[in-house]
Amino acid sequence: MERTHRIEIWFFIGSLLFVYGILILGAGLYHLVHPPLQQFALADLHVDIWWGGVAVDVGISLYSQVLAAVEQRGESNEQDR
Amino acid sequence: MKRLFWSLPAVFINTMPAVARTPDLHSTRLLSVTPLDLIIVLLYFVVVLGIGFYLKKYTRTGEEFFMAGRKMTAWIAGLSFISANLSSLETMGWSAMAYQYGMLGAHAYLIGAIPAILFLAVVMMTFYYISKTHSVPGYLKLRYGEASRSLAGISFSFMTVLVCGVNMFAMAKVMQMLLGWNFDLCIWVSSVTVAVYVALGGLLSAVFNEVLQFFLIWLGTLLVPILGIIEAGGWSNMLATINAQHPGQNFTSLWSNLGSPADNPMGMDWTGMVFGLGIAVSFGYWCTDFLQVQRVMAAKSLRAAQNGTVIGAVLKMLVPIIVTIPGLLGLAVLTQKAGITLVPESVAQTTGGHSYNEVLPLMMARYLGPGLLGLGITAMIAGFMSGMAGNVSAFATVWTYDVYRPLVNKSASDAHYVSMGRWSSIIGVFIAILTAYAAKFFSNILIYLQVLVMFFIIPLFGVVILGMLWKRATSAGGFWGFLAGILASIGEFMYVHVFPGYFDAAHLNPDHVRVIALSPLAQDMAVNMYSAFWSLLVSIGVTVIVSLLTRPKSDEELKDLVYGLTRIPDEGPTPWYKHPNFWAAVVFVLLIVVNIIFW
Repeated sequence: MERTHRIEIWFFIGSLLFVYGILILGAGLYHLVHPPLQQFALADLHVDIWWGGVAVDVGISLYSQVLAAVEQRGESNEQDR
Repeated sequence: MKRLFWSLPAVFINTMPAVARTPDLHSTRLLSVTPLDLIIVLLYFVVVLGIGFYLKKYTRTGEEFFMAGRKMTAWIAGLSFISANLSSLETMGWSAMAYQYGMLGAHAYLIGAIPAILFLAVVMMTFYYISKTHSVPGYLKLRYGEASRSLAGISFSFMTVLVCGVNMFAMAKVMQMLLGWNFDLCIWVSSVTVAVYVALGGLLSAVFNEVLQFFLIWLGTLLVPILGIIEAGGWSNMLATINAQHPGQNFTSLWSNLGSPADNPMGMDWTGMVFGLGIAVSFGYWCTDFLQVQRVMAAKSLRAAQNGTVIGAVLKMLVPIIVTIPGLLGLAVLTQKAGITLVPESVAQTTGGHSYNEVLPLMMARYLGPGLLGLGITAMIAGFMSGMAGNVSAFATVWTYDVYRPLVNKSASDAHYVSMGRWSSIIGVFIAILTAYAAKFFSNILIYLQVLVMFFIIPLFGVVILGMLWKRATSAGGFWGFLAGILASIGEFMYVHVFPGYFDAAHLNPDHVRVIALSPLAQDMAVNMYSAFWSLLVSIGVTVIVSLLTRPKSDEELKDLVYGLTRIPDEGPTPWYKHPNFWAAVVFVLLIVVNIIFW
């Protein structure tokens, strides 16, 4: 029986990191306006904003890898036909 | 106020859990989570279960379920290889080690890992891969016969489910302590999740989750060293602060304080570090522990397996950034900026202070706000669960192929063995749950479980490496060498804990320690390293002697199993920059440079 092509592992990782990044980035922006009650060292660096951005960036990069692989596979299938 | 509960790692074995010896419950929590943190944790569980359900349709044959179809790329194999070892017990335990002993703890990632991983890539992987075996015990069957395979298969199966149980217990205790979560709930949620995704997707599912875990651990932990160094005023200032706070003690060197056991708090000199850790423990663990080797054996080609292993070596060398540096930062930042000095666990329990084991959670609590803390906690949970899943998937393979098939049901269909693999995953988790509860109620069990890996893995390396490199080694030699090594390991463990008239597994007898570790000052870790080295010598010695007295196999029988009789498959022309030997050499040079820089 023919099975569908398996989704790449990077899709799952990229998606999760992207969602995490959005959540953390959103929390960071919210905390700019409403600082959390608990104090943290180096809070003035607003690390959640840029670390959330890093997570979004890594997530998108991994997702792009998956898209590139899918497109490449599509092109080679076309050539096979 | 009582604090974290587990002892420091007993040995430099990286999977060796640093687990509790006091099962009492604690009412206080170190970290406070927000709803956002909980959403992040919950999302992780949804994704790992989703991966398990999704991958079920891709794991129908034995090759797919037990070996992930042997389709892994070098990168995925390498990430999985190193991630299976990067448990939360490791990150937390070795951060504590760095706080207590300074940079000496980083040896676990340098001489205690890299030479062995490179040796696996360049030498041993060829034999594992070309023999097309499913497991390390499977190689023993081909090389030495059924008796050696059965001994290795049964001992490995026994060991992995118990270690899985310890991991489960430790996770529940850590979550209870850090977050105030219910112990039973942690045990059951984590174990059911692991059982579901491994039983559905087999090794493929375990590998997917290990690679995911790798990213989560780095993303959840890397902020601690980055922010810590910023707060400490840079690397040089951090070292200067540590040295100023500990006059006369050397916390920032790898080798210069290993001239004598009296020069460092481990009670060990360079010979123990090189021969015990660098040779016996490291090679035993990285080259013959099937939990590790299985990940790279599942690569799509020999070259991918070798390159994946070399990638694993590079990634391993980077781990001190998120493990050792937070420990050192604890020495510099926590004391200077927060006025917190960490103490041994026994002292923390009587005085109510913070113990060494809390250094990483304390650093996380110091820097990570809502959302980021959820990421850090998710990284910890992912680390624990992938450790459990790694043990369960390796157990399912060895149990099915090396115990059930040869000893119980030799001629069943492939579908039957896949079904057995799925059921053994579930049963393995169930036994692990029993182990976790046994550890909760009988804390002394943990002392034995901590050294269990050494009993079997180190002697196994002696036998396997002789089998690969010396065609004169015989079936009888392999079996008796392995058995003698196991008995020597157990005997040494008993010997150092025997006192006149009684046995105490929790304490060392200095008179006996002097015999094993060559110094009465040797602590647990030093004793374990020397014991490992002697066990290795016993297994090699007995294998050689018995082999010389018994009849060897013919060259035809040893084809593709032994050096000199193995044909390397032609995988086409390879440019020099893609050759595993080239990258292995580069990584080895890098290792030397790092050791010189931090000498």
